[in-house]
Amino acid sequence: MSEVPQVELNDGHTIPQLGFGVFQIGPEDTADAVGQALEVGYRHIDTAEMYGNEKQVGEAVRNSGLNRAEVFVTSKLNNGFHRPDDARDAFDATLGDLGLDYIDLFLIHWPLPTLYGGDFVSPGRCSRNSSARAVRARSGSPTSRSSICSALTRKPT
Amino acid sequence: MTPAVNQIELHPYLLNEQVHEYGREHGIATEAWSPIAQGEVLDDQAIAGIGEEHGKTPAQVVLRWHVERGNIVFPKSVTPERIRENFKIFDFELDREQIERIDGLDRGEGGRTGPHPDKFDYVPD
Repeated sequence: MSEVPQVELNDGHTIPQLGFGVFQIGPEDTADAVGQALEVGYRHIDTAEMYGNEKQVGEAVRNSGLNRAEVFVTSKLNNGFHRPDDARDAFDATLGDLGLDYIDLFLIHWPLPTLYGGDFVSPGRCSRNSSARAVRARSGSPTSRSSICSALTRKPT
Repeated sequence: MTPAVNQIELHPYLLNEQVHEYGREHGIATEAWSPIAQGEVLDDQAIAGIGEEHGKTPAQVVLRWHVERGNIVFPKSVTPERIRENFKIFDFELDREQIERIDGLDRGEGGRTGPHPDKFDYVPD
């Protein structure tokens, strides 16, 4: 089952190189699909607030019988929530919908440079041609929220 | 703050090499969405041919290509058979020539199936 290679991220955490995506899986089918994936051996689930199925992803993960630490869960900040306060609220809502104490990876879903007047205030020009920024985010930690917010400290146009 | 991950559209028809390379240089892991180009690769003769050489499906060949290039992928399916099939990509390897054959399918911007991140501006209500 642990034949899936782990990729090491620049913060020292690892992520299974092969995961299971749920883009365009309706909420009514998601718990079952994720449940099956976990049974087959997937240990990394990629969802997003935008997909409308976070609750069902969380349900499947929690009902799988696996330890929370065994599954890598990614979600994403939806468009329209890039202002720091909105991002904080959106992150909390995502955690609440997933029913998890933390998520392993929280991505900015789309950079929306035309709405936010240019590059992210994060190092590098890596926001060009890229569709997401990543912040590793765990709840209850002051640094996690500030990381999201520092990644989003751009003023809307 | 350097991101840990960049999730971009990336598949045999859109190698997105400039962004991929940027990630490699800066220690940002690349996650590839639409890894099989919304299924378009399933009809590709070159990919099917490589699959035949290994007894693997086109989807498995392309997912293996991603893995060998260091990409993180998370194919989506609701079909139990495909959920299982997509997972069986660690019992074979592509050789250098096969990887280059798949690399050669790149269409550049012409291969993009999703929105361009520099232009996309949809905000939900």
